[in-house]
Amino acid sequence: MKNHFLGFGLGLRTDHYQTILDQSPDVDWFEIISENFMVGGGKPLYYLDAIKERYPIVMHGVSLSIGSSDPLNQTYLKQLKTLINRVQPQWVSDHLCWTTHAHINSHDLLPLPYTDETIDHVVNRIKAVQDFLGRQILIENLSSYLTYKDSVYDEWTFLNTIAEQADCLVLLDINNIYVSARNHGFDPMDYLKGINKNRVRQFHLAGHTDNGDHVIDTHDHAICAAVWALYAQALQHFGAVSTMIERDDNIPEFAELHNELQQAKHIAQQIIPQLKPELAS
Amino acid sequence: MHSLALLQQHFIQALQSGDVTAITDTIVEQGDLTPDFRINLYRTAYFLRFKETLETDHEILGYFLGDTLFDQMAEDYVRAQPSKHTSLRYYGDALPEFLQTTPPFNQHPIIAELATFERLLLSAFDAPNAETANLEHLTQTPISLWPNLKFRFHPSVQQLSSQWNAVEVWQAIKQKQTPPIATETRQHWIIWRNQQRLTEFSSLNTLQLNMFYRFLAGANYAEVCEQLAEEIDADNVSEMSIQCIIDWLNKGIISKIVY
Repeated sequence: MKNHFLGFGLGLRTDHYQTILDQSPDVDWFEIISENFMVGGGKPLYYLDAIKERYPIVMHGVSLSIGSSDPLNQTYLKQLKTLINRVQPQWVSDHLCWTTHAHINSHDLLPLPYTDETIDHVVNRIKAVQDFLGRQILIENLSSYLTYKDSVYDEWTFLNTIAEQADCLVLLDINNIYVSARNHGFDPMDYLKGINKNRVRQFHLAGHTDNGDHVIDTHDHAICAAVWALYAQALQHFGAVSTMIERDDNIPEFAELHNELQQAKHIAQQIIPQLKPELAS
Repeated sequence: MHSLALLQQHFIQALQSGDVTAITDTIVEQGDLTPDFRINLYRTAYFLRFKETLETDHEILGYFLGDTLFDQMAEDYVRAQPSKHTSLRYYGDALPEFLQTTPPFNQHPIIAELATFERLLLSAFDAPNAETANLEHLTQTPISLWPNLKFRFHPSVQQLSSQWNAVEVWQAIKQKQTPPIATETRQHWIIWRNQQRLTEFSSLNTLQLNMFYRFLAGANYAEVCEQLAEEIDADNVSEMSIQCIIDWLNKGIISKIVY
């Protein structure tokens, strides 16, 4: 399986639309939140159309609710497919979670119990989504704050098993691994080692809020030293993986995020020459 | 062992109603944090996410109400109104109705009107794109065909008829000026997205409002003029109606002229 290394990307946020068009910054690609562009027209789609002419785009969703016990939301899937046809993204991702029950949307990425029942349920749904979209999707690991008594697997075994059985790809969020490791007391290296290298297509990096006895995944801070260190370990383990920085709140000037992206690039350039050539594209 | 559906039902119940008993029983004791503390992290995030959505969508309503009343509104609305849409963009769609029917907000009808106006601005902002007709399209149409002309409005066009001076209050707060005192007064407004993709609004008098709804219902120019002649001096119908249509064409409100 080819790695499809796309380089280093940023999230496309409304605050930066005009800067991106005016300055054509040196960014390899942009990631959009799919739901933000499921609208009829106006500014969001105007800027998306203009920016996709200049940069590769990947689509990242938050409402697939792949682990919900509700039936798959066909209206949402049709909207997603329409947007895919418009954007022609490099790939499409969403989260290994549930967001909806009885048609009530939590708009949060809620954790699943790591059981055989859940694995079967999620695998069948990912297959159905991939059949409908006519392409593989990436699923992303969450940050979470609780563990269910019913869980019989660790999170990385759960994620890896689902990816293998559904034949989907993985978006590995390095910050989420760090956050969950702190909240649940596991070794993040166990997580990295538990994921099939060939399935990992993208990394996410982000900042969080450290409250001492627990960590909240807020995406409103710069990336901390511990997450940069884990990113370096992830690169050593997985090789060159397309990397993107998420910032969803307290959004700074574009230049500040661009500098942070250069730091990711610098770390990767330090590490990738040491890796086996077939891992890098 | 809980079924996935039951566990999710208990989780949503905890988020929406605050009854955490059933879900807390399913959570492992880990470290120093209790299951109750852990589920409450999700409850806090659930409320804050919706409150922030309302703050973003209803900035001027927020200034009008002040922090205390806005917080109360958000708390009551979140409790009463679970999200039924995959996008937060639509979460506040039921807010005007909530404010019309829920005390203490329903005692001041201008509050619901401010919310309605802000929802219509949002609708205009991301409505479907369409071409706009211009004055040239009209002048190139032979005069003999004018009686049959019909006007299709741009998909972004919204119309508000208010009982209070809500739009003037909104505009003053937006411009960081002292808003006028809330006053009961019948007003009509049209809202649309212009060709620079910016939302705009302007007032309509009763005659213009009637023309708007008659064209919207599919009437042609002759039929609209006939009805106008029952409302104003017949000698003024032509001039008034043409001025109104030219104004709409210049604003980009009309998408298509058909006959």
